[in-house]
Amino acid sequence: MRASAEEEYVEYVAARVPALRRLAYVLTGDGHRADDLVQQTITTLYLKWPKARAADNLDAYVRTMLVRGYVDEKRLAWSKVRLFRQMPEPAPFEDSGAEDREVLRKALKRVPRQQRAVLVLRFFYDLPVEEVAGILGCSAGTVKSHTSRGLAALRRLLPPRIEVPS
Amino acid sequence: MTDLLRTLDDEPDTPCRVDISAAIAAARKKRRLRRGVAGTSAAVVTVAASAAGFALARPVAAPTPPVIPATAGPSGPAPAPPAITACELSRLPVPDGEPMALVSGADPTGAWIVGRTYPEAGGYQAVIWHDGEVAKVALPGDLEESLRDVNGRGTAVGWSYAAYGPVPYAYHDGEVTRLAEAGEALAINENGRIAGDDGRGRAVVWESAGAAPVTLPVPAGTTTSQARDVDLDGTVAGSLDLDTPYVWRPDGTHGALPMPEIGGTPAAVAQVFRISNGWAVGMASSSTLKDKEKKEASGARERVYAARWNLRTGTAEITGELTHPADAVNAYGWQTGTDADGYAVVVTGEDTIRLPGLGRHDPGGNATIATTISDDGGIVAGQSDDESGTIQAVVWQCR
Repeated sequence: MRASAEEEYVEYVAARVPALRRLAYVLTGDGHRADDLVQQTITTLYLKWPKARAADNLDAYVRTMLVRGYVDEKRLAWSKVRLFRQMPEPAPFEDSGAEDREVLRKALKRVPRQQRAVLVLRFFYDLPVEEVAGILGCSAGTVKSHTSRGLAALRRLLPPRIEVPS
Repeated sequence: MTDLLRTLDDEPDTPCRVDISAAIAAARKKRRLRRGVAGTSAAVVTVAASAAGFALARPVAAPTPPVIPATAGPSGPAPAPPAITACELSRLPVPDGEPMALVSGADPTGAWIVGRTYPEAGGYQAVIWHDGEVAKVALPGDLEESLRDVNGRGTAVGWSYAAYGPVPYAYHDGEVTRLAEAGEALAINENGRIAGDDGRGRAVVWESAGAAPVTLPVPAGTTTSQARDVDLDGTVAGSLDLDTPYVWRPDGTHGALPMPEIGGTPAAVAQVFRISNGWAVGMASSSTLKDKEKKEASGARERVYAARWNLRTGTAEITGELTHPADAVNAYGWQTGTDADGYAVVVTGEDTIRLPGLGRHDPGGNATIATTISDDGGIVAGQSDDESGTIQAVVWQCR
């Protein structure tokens, strides 16, 4: 890669790391896995940079890379790393005093991976069904069924005080 | 819904480990390797697979597992295992021409293999392979499901997600049995003993698919326990608090395994993932998570090593041939895993045999994964990315 292109890459990535970490965190619900996912995404981005920098919407392009990396079962090899990270955590959360955000994050973690990705893309990013289907490489019908199942799962997982709209 | 989810728009509260210069270095290495290995990757193996139309090699007639008596003295395994030198790859069949599939477990002979496939319409389909044929397994629930292990009688165990979390199931000859209200069944031995968890961080065992789960005992002060696998003699292996390697023996006694040494110092953390005939394999690391965070914040990278225990001699060692913890172990202590160049390998102790993949090699080690190995070393099953980078269920015949 030419020096100028590399500078451009570093500049872009440095500016986008916080946003990518937020997306990875809402998807994985785990700070360590989030950083792994971001690291993996920006590594691939470097390889694809000559093409990527020409993309119409670079942010969307990178977001798609990250979400696909997350959903991709190939990354089962991750579990090798992940098992190590499942270390004793700080004191368990008391539901009564918990912030709703934490309760929500925990509930989201228990929704199956594909549904979680669909919920995040549709409601966190407010993307239309067709665009979500494009990102995940599946049909609009699948996105819709994942959405309704994901919402149903959240509804059952969350305490009544947190309302999940239908 | 948008308002609700947007409340989660914050960065992780853990220190940021994302490292741009490391990404550039890794990407460059990847590119170099990709260019460098073209055409040479098959040097040590015979590749039977051609681009299209893989002949499905039926798993050869299930050999009797070379069980080494558990009473064998510390002199080590008595009968010499057959040597293998090369492995031929073939694809496992999938139902309805489904586009993706992977293997998650197999019995000690390799005659039964379990895994899952991905229907075109989305979702997951648990499957079982036997005699070269694939059968769908209908587990209740239509969220996420996975069969994790199967024994030589064709009894498989696994879990399926309900709205509130995973539920453990056993499957035999078309019949599904729910093992508990919640939890996961992860492994089954030849006698039908099943190991898993209760979904609340406690290791459990089922004496059979019809039995109620029994929580495995742990020493005082333990917060969580993990049962990952069950050996031929009923020994359950796993960990306590995800940091102490632990076994529960069939006579009711239980205890920690020794920490393997890393560079002359006992590991700080270790866990057992698989066990076969007294050989246990898993991970070891010299630092705990807290140390790890500190070190990584300062730029140092902490490695997770492949560890192997011999329960007969009570010894533990690091397997240098593998870069990650082993994926499987057989009755002779042979391991499958990933070598330093990202190839799936069988490590026999005498030899390291590379396994061919379907498509392009990935130095990161995710392209081909050998998930199971039979006791005679003749059948290895796992997953491999095809030319399009899609995961496919595969089996290797080794001889």
